[in-house]
Amino acid sequence: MTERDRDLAVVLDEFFPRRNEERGDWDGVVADAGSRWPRVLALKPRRIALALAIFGVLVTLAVVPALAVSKGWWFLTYDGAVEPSGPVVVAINPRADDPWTLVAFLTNSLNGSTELCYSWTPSNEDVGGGAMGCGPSAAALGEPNLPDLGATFATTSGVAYGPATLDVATVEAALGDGSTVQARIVTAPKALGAPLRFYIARFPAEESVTKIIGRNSEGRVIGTITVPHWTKPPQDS
Amino acid sequence: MVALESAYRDRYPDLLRVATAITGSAESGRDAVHDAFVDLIRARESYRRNGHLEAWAWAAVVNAARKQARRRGSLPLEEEALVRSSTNGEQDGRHGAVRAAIARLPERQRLALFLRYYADLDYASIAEALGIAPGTVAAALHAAHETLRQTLRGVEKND
Repeated sequence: MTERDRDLAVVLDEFFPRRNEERGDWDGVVADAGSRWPRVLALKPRRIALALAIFGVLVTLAVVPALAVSKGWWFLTYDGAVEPSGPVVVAINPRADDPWTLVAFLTNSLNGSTELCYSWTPSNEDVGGGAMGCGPSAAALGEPNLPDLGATFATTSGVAYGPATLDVATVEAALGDGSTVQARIVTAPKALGAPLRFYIARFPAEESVTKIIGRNSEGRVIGTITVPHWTKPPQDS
Repeated sequence: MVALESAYRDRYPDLLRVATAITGSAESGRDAVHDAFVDLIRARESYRRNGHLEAWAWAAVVNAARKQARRRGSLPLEEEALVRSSTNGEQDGRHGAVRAAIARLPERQRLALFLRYYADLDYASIAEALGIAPGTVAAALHAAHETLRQTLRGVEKND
């Protein structure tokens, strides 16, 4: 057997060093595999029920308001309703210990620009989710290389989530107590039509977030969102 | 599915490295690994149990990376690699010559080289990933080594 040539190995190592810090995005892979193929067929029966329940909620939260606008349903129309300009994309975290669903779509704003709408919904009963929000996004405008971070905070629980352009490889949330938590990264399914990722940072519900920090694959900070004096709203007793 | 996830998580840095070498760009390499595993998940029902799952995954990544490279219209190791070598000072000549030599290798030799050096695969696994016989892998690597050693010797002489 021809062994590895040591000199050559040294040169080749310098060309493309092993990026040990990169872990990939398995959740994004699973989401993309499911977005073009009925992944539900591959799920176990118990999860099928869960997926269907989540899907039902999503239809209510995301699709119905959009239909309300387009069809003129008086009982669901309101000024802020938006109509998707492309596919409504759903990413589901299949992990039993932290089930959640992310829904996103692009929409045309009143001034004609493309905006990104997204919401994150946990399946745990004790954790609140965020309402659908829309806003301009560098990725939605076709600028995937422009560092960009957006942020939304679920008002009843310890979660911050938002979109980030593809050059954002990792996101961490700095908390009020000085600690940081690493966010999970999900690459948006291609069907969305915007090259971007979403991050979901979970933290203790009693804590507040002071900063969201996005880094590229080399660990360099390329986006920061500072949250001034953010305090957790009082819980209903 | 669990085995695929393990292969992805355990081998991601190596998968990315090989895909980056083939496409010539880390971003395209990430896309290639991503696309390959999306396809693997969808096609997992057709996976032959008598084959090695890891080799099956490597074959998918290599194919996805070749597709990405074609889409980019670039030869491997060309763009950022050659640009970097021209600004690196002392090792410019050596690196540039080796990069150019690798870019000129026949594709089979180049892919075998990447899988051997960047993924540390043995001949049987490389053969399975590339769909060729182990003997062909040995011959391809031997030829690649000869070409690149000659290149290195030539550069050292000139220095």
